[in-house]
This record gives sequence, structure tokens and C-alpha cells, in this order.
Amino acid sequence: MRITETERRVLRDEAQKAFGADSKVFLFGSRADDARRGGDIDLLVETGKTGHDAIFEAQLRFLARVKLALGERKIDVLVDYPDRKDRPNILRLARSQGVQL
Amino acid sequence: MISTNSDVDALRFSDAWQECCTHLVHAKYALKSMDAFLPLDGQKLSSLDLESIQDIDQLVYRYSKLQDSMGSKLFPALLKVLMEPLEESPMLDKLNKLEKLGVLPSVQRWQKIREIRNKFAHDYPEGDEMKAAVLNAACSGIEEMAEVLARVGKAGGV
Repeated sequence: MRITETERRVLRDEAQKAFGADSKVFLFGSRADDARRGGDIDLLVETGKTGHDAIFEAQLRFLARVKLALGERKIDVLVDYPDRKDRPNILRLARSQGVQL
Repeated sequence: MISTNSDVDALRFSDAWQECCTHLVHAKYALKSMDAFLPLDGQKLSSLDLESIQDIDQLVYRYSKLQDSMGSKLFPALLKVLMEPLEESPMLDKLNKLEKLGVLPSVQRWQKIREIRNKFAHDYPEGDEMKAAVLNAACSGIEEMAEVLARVGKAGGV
């Protein structure tokens, strides 16, 4: 896993504040791979929160607060939530290779 | 006539201001055209006609342009006009200063407005439900940017 301890803590704490205490964050993609360098921070958030507008608002809040705390980073967030209808393959991939923060 | 640095700064500010106002006019017009089907949901979004989709495209385009011009041109130009020496500082310092000056209601809120634009610019493919949620957020984002724009105008003496 190629993120700092501070980044890990901020990402996890802010995800729980925005998406609820029961939410889980996984790091996947190049940052989860020790053998690679640089790259975006790809995250999967699993939450029990529902409602598409509420999920998007939580996502905005999460990204805004993380960037205020850590400075500008390139972060992509996938959110898996109970009433999500489309299930692209990347969700499954992210879950299987992701490292929980 | 010899133009001074402050003339140049004032000109730059008024150009940026004009540019933002133009984007806002078009964004508001798009918003008005979308009135009949707001707020959106996945179902509505998937059954819109071509003209309505063009209205949405126009909103997305103007939202992005407006947010970008405000952040990259108007805010720095305002700080220069107000003689705030933050030219070389990170964006976040500039935003904090603007919050202190009362131009931005909150830095966090501006960061969210910016994230909506990022969402338009890239990211994973999303279903219609999430696309609708993003567009709904953008519609309120336009109103908030209009409010900030008015405050910038006041602070810059337009």
C-alpha cells in the first residue's frame, strides 16, 4: 500500500464521517500495489447509506474535506450502496483487489 | 498615457468578471429550460428528448467554465486588486483569504462546487441515478456561484 499513515487515517475517518460509521474504505489500483509508482488514489467506499442524492452529497463532503486536510490530490471514489442499480465490473474488481484502510 | 500595474490589475479583474457573468447568463438560461424536469432522477434522465439533453449539456459546459474561470482567473484577480500578496500561494491559501474577506461563505462549500466540476471532467462511468444526482447538485451549485459572483463584484467595486 503506497499511501502515508496520515493519508490512510484522514481517508478512513472522513469516509466514516461522510458515509456513516459503518462504512468501509478500500484502496485499489496502482496505489494498492507496492511495485508501482505514483498514480491516482482509487477508493471504493461501501456504505449502508441509501438515496442517490444523499450518496453524492456524502461523496462531495468526503472529497472536499480530504482535500482541505491533505492538499490537492487526484482521488477517484467509487461508492457501493444498497440501492445502487448499475453494477459495473470495476466494483467487483475493486472489492477483490482492494486493501481496507 | 503610462499605464500602471494597478491599471493592468483592474483591467484583468474586469475582464475576468465579464467572462464569468457571461457564463452565468448561459448557465441560468439552461437552468430555466430545465425547469420542467427538475429535480432529476434516473428514470426521468433516461427518457429525456434530444432538446432537453442539449439543455443539460449546456448547463454542464457553463458550470465547468464558470467554476474554472472563477477559481483560476477571477479570484486571483480580485486578490490582486485588493492588494493581497498571495500570488505565489497555493489555491487553498487564496480560498481561506477569500473566506476571511467574506467573499466565500465557506472554503469547504467552494471545494464541493469544485468537486462537482471534477465529477463532470472524469471519473468512473456511473448509472443514470448517480448522473441525475450530480446534475441536481450542479443546479444548486449554479445558484451558489451566482451568490459568490455577486459578492466578488461588491468586493472588487464593479
